[in-house]
Amino acid sequence: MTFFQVAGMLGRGGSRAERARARLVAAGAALATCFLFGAANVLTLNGQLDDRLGPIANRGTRPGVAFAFGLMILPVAAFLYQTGRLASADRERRLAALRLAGATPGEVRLLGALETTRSAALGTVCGAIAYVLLEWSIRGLLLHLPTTAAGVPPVPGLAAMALVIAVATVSGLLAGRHVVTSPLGVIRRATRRPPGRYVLLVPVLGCIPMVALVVGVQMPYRPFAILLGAGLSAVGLMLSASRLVWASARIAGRRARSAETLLAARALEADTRPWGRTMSILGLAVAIGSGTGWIQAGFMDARHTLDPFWLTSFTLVDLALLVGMAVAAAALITHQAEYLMEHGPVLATLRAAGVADGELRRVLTRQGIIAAVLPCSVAALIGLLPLARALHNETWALWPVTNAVLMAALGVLAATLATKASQHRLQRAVSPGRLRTE
Amino acid sequence: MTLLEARRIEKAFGRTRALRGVSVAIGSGEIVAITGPSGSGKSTLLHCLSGIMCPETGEVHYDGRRIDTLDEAARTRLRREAFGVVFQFGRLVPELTAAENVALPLLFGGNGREESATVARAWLERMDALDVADARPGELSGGQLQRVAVARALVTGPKVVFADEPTGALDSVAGERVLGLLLEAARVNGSTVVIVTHDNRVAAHADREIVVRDGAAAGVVV
Repeated sequence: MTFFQVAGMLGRGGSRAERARARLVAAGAALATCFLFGAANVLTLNGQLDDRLGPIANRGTRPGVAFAFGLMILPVAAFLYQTGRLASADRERRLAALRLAGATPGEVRLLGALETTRSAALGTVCGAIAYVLLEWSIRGLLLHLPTTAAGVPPVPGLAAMALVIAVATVSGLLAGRHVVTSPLGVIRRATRRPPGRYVLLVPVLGCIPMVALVVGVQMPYRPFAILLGAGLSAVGLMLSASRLVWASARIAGRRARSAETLLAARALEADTRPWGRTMSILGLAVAIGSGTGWIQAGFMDARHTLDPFWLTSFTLVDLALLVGMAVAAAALITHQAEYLMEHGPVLATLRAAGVADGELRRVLTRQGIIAAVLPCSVAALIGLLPLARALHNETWALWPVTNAVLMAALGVLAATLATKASQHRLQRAVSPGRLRTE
Repeated sequence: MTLLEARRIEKAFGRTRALRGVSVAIGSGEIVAITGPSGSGKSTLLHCLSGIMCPETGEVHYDGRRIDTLDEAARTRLRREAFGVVFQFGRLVPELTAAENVALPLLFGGNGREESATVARAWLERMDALDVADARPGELSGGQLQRVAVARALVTGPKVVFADEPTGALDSVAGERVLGLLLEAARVNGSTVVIVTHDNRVAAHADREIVVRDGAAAGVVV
């Protein structure tokens, strides 16, 4: 029997959670393929297009749009990684039987990754077909261009598909590294602690040129310094997200007055990394969204109006940020599902002791709120700094501030909604059946 | 005086009939052991008596009130106010310290954090587990886990304590100690104790033993 036949046989024997994981991996891969095809498609456009198409109308702004499409891979990668962790202990437990049959740990992990690869390949093909059909329709309806040829050249298209499958496979391998499979069973390695407080220095360093710019300090190589500052701020924000979530959970845990807040804060503090991964993407989206507030304010201050080109451009940027936030937050749904699966017996015991379902649901919701508040607030503040500028009419300064508050609120809302979306699994997780010794 | 009563209760999981018309009556302050082989329906009976699940037919009464017809919210309130539960392996929240685990039912009951912590520590002291108050469950031995779990079950002063194989995962010395502490604290509290066990040594501590076999009460040993 070949390796692939074994993988196929194991795939068919998966549990319900594992099948859900396979579908989510396929969905993530399809989304990633669409974004990469979008980037390739925009780069191959020729000539001036209709102004209503915003930044893809102009030749000069197309590389930026393609880059933005590429950036959308970040939330999808976080989603794929998180999805890969879903039911990993379940799956590895099933694969542990192979260890008894003589398979090495490496072969077991490879089989696990192969399952991810298969789902990713299926999702990539579906995503490619969906994109091509969508692109043909848009060409015909909006651009009135001939629909005889696909916009994505074959070579970049195939390369994008291969890249997505590779990323999914690596995510699958990485997600499985927290589980150790032996012939006697499966143990999940202790979760990694968040990075030390030193990591907070990175965004602080990044903010220095921004603050200098705001207070009017003259600096050499100004554009380079600003670019470096913005880059360091963005990278620092992503690196320090786990630390910020941990700090937020620690503060909430110490000050908790209710059982729900205490349970939520302590659960977050114990397993910060998955939240940190999502918050790094959400935070980046909040920071970018806050930053665009200054650009919009600058335009409105200078021109007192926004022409269709810029209006469409800003709308598309906001839309992209919202999609990025939604995809990143969706990763939390899979993390919460994993949390409920692992904590099922403990939560069922609490329920047996008289804790109401509504109180357990509040624990989940508060996890989202506690995790998101600090990273999103810091991200909004950092986003306000880079492009701060003097305006002719100071009243316009209210626009970016309002925008930043709104973006931070959206970040918290996205995290909270994601936790709400996972609550339907609670009923099954705390059923009396989970009280039995497994 | 009868505090808890099941009348001809039946419960099935798919085609498997877990309980077949079981009737039991448990008096106030009584210590009752429910024994029987694996799969005989002991735990299902305990779940029905404690309102964790409802039987398909028959009735369950607590303190003269029928509880199997109450909705989930009312049964949850009842469990919070009148019952305490202990399961095998402690089933403590892994992220909380031992003291926080014990304080949890009080916090859910609306008590303040400091007040709850003080009461929790007093209970840990009674259970001879004060030295592990700030440790997390992962750092505790099986016996310590169960003593903390017993403290959590008793901290609200429940009228009935339900224990499902509370010593099942412990060696005989640790098991005796946990059981001794549970029964002593329950007697001081005046709580009724219902213990599910397949261990005759545990059953020997009870005032009465109800033997369940194939989903039916096969006999009572006094």
